[in-house]
Amino acid sequence: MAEAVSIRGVARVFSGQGSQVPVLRGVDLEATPGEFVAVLGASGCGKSTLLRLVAGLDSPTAGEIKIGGRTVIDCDPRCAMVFQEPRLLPWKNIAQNVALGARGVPDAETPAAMLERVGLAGNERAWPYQLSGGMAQRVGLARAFVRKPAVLLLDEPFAALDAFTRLQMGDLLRETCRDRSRTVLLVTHDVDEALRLADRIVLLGGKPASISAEYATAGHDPSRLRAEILGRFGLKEVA
Amino acid sequence: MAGGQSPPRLAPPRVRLPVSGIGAIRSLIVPLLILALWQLAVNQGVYSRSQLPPPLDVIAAGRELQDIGLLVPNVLASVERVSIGWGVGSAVAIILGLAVGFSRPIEGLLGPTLNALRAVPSLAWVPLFVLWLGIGEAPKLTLIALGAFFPVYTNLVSGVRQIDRKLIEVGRAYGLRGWSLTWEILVPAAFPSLATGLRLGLAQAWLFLVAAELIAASRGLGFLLIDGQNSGRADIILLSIMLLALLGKGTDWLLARGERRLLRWSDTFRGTA
Repeated sequence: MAEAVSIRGVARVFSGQGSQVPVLRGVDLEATPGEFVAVLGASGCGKSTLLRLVAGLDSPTAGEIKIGGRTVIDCDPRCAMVFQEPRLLPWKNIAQNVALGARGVPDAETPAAMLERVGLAGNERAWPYQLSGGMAQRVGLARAFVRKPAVLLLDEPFAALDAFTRLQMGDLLRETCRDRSRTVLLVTHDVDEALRLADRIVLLGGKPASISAEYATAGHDPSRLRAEILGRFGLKEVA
Repeated sequence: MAGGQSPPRLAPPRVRLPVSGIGAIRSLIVPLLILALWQLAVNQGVYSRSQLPPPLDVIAAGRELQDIGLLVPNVLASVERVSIGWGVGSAVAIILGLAVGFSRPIEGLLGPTLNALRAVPSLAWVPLFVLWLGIGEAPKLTLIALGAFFPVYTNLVSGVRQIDRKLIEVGRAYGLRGWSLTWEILVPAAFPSLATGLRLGLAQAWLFLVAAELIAASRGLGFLLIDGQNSGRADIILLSIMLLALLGKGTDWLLARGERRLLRWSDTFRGTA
């Protein structure tokens, strides 16, 4: 079951040797259950940091993050994360990697069934090193999907893929999320990807970063929305 | 609902074992060359025949020992000592290596001491072991275990410290904690280093076996060496050396086989064909 995500007044300051680097400040974001929200921002603006905070892989310096009304304190079992790189465990075969996602999920699909859904049927026993980048990222998605997460967290999952594979994976993701059985936070720097996939687009910017604008995609002309968002980043659309 | 058509099935991974037809022949070239040179040196009379017996005499010496029932028991005695010593030394090294590798407080507590002990040439302990443990099996096994310990320990600690943090994060993100995290992420990730350590440790164990048996023993290959020296039997000395070479190589081959099987997931350079 999808759960609401509530991010309130979140700040994250990284402290290194003697220096303090504020990355996020006063981030507020609410996602309703089943909503697909894209967090759009330039490289290095703190998008991934925000996602890691939601996953409970890191804790905010200030503010609070709740999933379904409960505060996130440690790695949250209701989340499943897809990273920028596939991050498959090299010593587990493909099926075992997917099975990691199914851990502790009572009625999880079998790895074989899950792999078939992402177009990798018959490769259960292959090792990660034998896969292409696109195939490996499909396994990464399968590992997250099989978890039936209340909240799916996607950290630029398609950034390293070629344009064609990226479109394929986008379709796969949209298909899978169509039934609204999970809330999705997608972090990306790709405006078109955000427009194609998300119900709502929020812009993360500034130093330290906070939410600077948000747009609902439903009922809007994508190309006008695109021009407007690009304008926000100081870019003019090339005709 | 798959996105696009299925990518092609991948061929199932294959395990290639090191010894195969041509490889076996190639590996025998140098030993055969050495045998030929040896025979040549004998024919040229570089040393007297009792100092440097021809290869066939060495085999005859082996048969002679076999006939009086001294070959197999001595070999078995050494194999047993190495197995026990290496097993115990490696087991302790794995426990301490994991602990020191994973936990910085434990590293702070034990690391410096262990590194200082490592700096002591292990043979320096012999007099103390003899004083404390006598001249029975105990000091020998202790010495062999000590010899096996450090390569395993050192490699494992550095292996644990080289684990990709991102993979640990994957484990945490997917709900692994404590033991399950150790078992499923940390141990397999550090396994390549552990395997290297175990093989180096085994080589050290054979080294320390001979040291231990040379000091005081009534059986074993080291005993045969000393016995050959005392009775002026170069053939027995050479036989013992060749047996040590065969046993050392054989046990290492077994470990290498196991290592290959367990590491068939790894995508490392294996040399050009």
